[in-house]
Amino acid sequence: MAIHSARRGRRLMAAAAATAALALGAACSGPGGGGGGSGDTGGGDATDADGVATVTVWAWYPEFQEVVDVFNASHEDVQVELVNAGVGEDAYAKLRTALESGSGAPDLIQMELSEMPSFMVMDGLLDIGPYGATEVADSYPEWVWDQVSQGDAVYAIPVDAGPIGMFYRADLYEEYGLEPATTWEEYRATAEALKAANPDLYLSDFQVGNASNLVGLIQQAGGAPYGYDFSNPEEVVINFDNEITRQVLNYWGDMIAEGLIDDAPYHSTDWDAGIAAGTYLTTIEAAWRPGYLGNIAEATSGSWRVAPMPQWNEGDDLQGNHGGSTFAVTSQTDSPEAAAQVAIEIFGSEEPWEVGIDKAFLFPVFNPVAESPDFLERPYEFFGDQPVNEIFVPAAQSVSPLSFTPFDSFAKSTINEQVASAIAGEQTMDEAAAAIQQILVDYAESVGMTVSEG
Amino acid sequence: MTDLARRPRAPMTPGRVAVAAALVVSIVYFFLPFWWIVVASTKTTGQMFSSHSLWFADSFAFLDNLARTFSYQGGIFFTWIGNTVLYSVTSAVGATALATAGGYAFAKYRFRGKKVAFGVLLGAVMIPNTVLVLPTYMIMSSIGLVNTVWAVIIPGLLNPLGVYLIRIYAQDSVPDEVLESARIDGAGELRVFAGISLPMLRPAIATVLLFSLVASWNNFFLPLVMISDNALYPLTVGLNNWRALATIDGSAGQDLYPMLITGSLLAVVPLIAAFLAMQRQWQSGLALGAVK
Amino acid sequence: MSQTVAEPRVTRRRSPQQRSGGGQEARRGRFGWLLLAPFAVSFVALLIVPLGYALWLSLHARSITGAQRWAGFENYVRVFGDESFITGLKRVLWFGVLQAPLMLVLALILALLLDAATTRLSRLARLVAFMPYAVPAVIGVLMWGFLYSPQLGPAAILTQLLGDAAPDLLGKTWVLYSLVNVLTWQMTGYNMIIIYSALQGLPREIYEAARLDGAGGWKLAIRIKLPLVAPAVVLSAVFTIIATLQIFSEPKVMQSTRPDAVPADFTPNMYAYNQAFSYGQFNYSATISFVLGIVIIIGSYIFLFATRRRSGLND
Repeated sequence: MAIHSARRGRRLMAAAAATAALALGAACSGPGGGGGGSGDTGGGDATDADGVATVTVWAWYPEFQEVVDVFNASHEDVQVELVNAGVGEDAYAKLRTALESGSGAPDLIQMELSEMPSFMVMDGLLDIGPYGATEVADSYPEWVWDQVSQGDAVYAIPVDAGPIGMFYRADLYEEYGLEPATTWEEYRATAEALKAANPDLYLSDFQVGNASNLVGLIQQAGGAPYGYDFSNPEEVVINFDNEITRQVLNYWGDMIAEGLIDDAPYHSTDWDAGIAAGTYLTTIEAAWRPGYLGNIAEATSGSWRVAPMPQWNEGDDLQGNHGGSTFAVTSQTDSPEAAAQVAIEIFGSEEPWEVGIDKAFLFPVFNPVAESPDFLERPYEFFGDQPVNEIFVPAAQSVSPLSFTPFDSFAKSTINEQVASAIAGEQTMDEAAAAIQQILVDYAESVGMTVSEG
Repeated sequence: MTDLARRPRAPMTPGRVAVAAALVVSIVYFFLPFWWIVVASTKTTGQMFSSHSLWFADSFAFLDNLARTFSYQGGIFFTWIGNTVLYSVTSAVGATALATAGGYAFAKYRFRGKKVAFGVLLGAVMIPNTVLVLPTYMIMSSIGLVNTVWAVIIPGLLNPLGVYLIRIYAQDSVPDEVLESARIDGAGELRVFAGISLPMLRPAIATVLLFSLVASWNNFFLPLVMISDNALYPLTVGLNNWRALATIDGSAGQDLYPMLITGSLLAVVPLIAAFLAMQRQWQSGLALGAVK
Repeated sequence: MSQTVAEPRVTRRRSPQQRSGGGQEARRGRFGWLLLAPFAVSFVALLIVPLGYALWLSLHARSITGAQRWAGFENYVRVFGDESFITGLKRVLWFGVLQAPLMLVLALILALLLDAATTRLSRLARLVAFMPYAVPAVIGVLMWGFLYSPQLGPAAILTQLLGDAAPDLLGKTWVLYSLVNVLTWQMTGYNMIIIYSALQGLPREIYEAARLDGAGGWKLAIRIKLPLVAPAVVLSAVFTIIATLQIFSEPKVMQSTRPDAVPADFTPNMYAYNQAFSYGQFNYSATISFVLGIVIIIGSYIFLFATRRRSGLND
C-alpha cells in the first residue's frame, strides 16, 4: 500500500505541477500589471506610436525627480521614467537578479564608480561610445573619465564624486588652541595636544567599517590597492599588502591604540552622537557628507570649516575620493541611443545641477559647473558661509588614479572585517593587510579570474 | 478564570507579590522599544542624537514629523500603506483558504499519497527562503510578473505551516462521529465540509488568517527582490528604503530620520489593532497542537 | 457538486456497508484530493518547481563571464570546505543553543503566570508581551539599535558605570548576544501565547483532582501543567530551531549600519544571499542554501524523533 500510494502520489504531483504552471499563467497574465500601476519597469516598449522614446531609470537620490522633470520638460522625443529601486546595494542586487534572469533591468541605472567592474564581468553594461559619449570626455576630470571608459569604449557617464577633505569644528579648535593640520604628522601632534587638554575628547573617529573611505585614504597616500581594465574583464590586480597601505593602516591603528582617535563604527548611533555632541573635533569626509552631517548635528551648523587634506610629505598635493556615481546604460536596453542621450544630457548642463547642488549636496564632476564661479564662490551655511568648493574643486582635479575590482562589495566586507579585527587587538595591522591580500586573491581565483599581485 | 481571580480582593501574600513583580518587569521589558519609538517620534533629528533616547526633548515635533511623513515624496507613505493592505489581505485570505481546505483534507480524508505529501510538506517548512527567491524571481520574470503586485501576492499564497496547524486542529476538534452521522443523514462531502466542519474550525482559521496576515504584513525579503518600483513597495521595503537613505550614504542631504521613525510607529499600529480586535478568536485557535 | 451530494444516499440504499466500503472510500479520497488540490498546485508551483531549479543551479557552475556548465558536486565540496559557511553555521547553532531555551523558558514561565491568575495586570502583560511579534525586523532592529547606544539609551548606564570598559553591544563581541535579545523580545510573546492557549485548553477537572491531593501553586504548575503542555513546547521548539538556523533579516539590516561587527557571512543564510545578490555567484549561493536546508531538515527530524511521543504527530 505504501509503495503503491507513493507512486500514485508522484504521478499526481506531476499532474499538479503542469496544472500549476497553466493556472498561474492564465490567472495572472490577463490583468497584466495588476492594480499597482506602472507594471513592468524594465527596459522595453522603447518607443510609442508618436515616436517618443521612454527611458526607464533606476536611481535613489530623493531629489532626483526634480532633475528628471527638468529633463522631460526640455525634451520632446525622449522622456525619462524614474524608478526608485532601492538605495545602492539594494538596487544593485535587483540589477544582478535581472541580468541573471535575462529580463527586468532598466535602460539606465545610477551606479557608483566602485560597482561598475562587477557589472562589466556580467556583461551588464553597454558601450555607449558609439552613441556620442566619447565626445563629452573633455567635460570631466581625467581620473573620473578613466574609471568609466577604456579607449573609445564608454560604459557610463559620471555624475558626481566625493573628493575627501578635512572637516573641523572651528569653535572648538579655537577653544583648545588648535590649528588645522597640513601634514599627517601634524595631525597626530594635534590629536596629542587635544588629548592633553581634554581627555574626554577625540580629534576624530576612525569610522570602523567604512572601507570606502579607508580606500580613499590609501589613495590619498598615493596607493592603488586594485587594478582593473575594462578590456580584460577577467583579469584583476590585487595590491593591498604594500608599504603605503601598511603605513596608512598603522598610522590610524596606533593612534586608536593610544586613545587619540576613537573607534566608533561608521554610521553607528555613537558616531552620530559624537559628532552632534562635539566629542569629535574633526572628521575626514567626502564632499557630499555635509548633507548628512547637517541633519544629525543641526545644532553645530555654522561651526564647521573645511581644510585641505593633510599630506604625508610636506608640499605634496595628493587627494583621495570616496563615492560618487554615474549613469550607466544596461545591456538589456531596447533603446540604446535614447538611453545614452539621457545619460549624457541629464546632468550635462547647468540647470539640473541647480537642483543637484542646492537640494542634494551633490559634488559635480561636470567641469562647466564644477569650475564655474557660481559654484566655487558659493557660501555654505553649515560651514559658517565658507566657500568650501575652493578646497574641494582643486582636490577633485588632482585625485590619484584608482580602479576597483569586480567584487568590490566582497573586498569592502573583507577590509572591514580584517581592520576591525586588528583594532580589536586580534592581529596587527600588518597582518590585516596581508590577510586582506590573501583573501582577495583567493576569492578572485575561486571565481575564475586571473590575478596578478602588483 | 481560576478561583484566585474570582475572589474580589485576594490577600497580599509574598507569592502573589512576586508574581505581580515578575509581570511588571516583563511589561517594562517588552514595552521598552515601543516607548522609545513613541518618544523618538516627537523629536527632530538633531534632538535624537543629543538627548536621552527614553525621554522627551524640549520641543514637541510630533505633529510636524507626522505632517512630513505623510507629505514626503508626494504622500508615498499612503501608497505604501495601501500596498501593504492589498498584499497582506489578499495573500492572507488566499493562503488561509488554501491551507484550510488542504489541512482539513489531511485531517479527515484517507487518500493515496497522503503520507508522502505530508512529509514533503513538513520538509518545506524547513527550506531557507534564500534558496527560493532567485528561482521564484525567474519564474515570475518568465511570465512577465516581476515588479507587479502579483509577484508579491502569489508567493504569499503558500503557507505550509497553516496546513499543518489546520490539520492538527481539525483532528482534535472535528469529531469523526459528527461527520459520519451527517453523512448517514445524506449530506454530501462538500456540505459536510462547508456546513459542519468549517464552523467548527473557525478559531483555527482565524489563527491561520492572523498569522498569515502578520507574515505577509512583515514580509521584507520577497518584495525587496521582486519589486523595483517605489510606488509598489509595501511598508517594510519602503521604510527600509528610508532607513538606507537616512543612515547610509544615500540621503544626499535629506533629513529622513523623523519620517523613518514616525513611519515605523505608524506601521506597527494597525497590526496591534488587529491583534486586539481578533483576540478572542486566535487565542482559542492557538490551543491547536497542544491537546492531543 | 450536486452529484456529490446525491451519491452517498444512493450508496447507502443500494448496498450494505461492507461491500460499498471500497468505492465510498475512494470517492472520499477523491474529495480529499480535491480539497487539497489548490494548495498542492501552489505548493508545486511555488516550492517544488523553484526548488528543482535551485537544485539545477547548485549542480552547475558559471565562470565569471562564461556560460553554465555541469559541475556535479563541485559546489557541494566547496561548501563543506568553506570557512565562511562553517563559521556561520557554528554561529547560528550557538545562537540557537542560547536563544531557544532562553526564550522558551521565559515564554513558559510567563504562560504559567498568566494561567495561574487572571488579573488586570496579567491581561496587560499578555498583550504587551505579544506586541513585538507584530513588529517587522527592519523596525525592530532600528529600535534596539538606538537602545543599545552607549551614549543615548539605557545602555548609557553601563557607560557611566564602566567608562571605556563598557561593552559595545553592537560590536563584534556582543552583537550576537544583542541579537539573541532582539529575537527573544520579538518571539517570546508568540510562544507564550501558544503555550498559554494550550494551558487554557486543559480540562479544569485535572486541577481540582490535583488540588484535592494537596498540590497547589508551583507544584501544580510543574507536576501537572508542564507535562500536559509539553507538546506545545516541543512544537514551539521545533519552529524556533528552524527559525534560528535560518536567521536572516535582523542581521542583514544590522549589517548595513555595522559592517564591522556583522560581516556578509555572519549567518549561512546571509552568506547565501550575499553570494547571489552582492557577488553574482548564483550557483554557489543555491548550493549554500541547499546544504543549509539539509542541515535544518536533519536537525529538526532528530529533534522531533527525540521528542516523538509528545509532538502530536503520530501519523
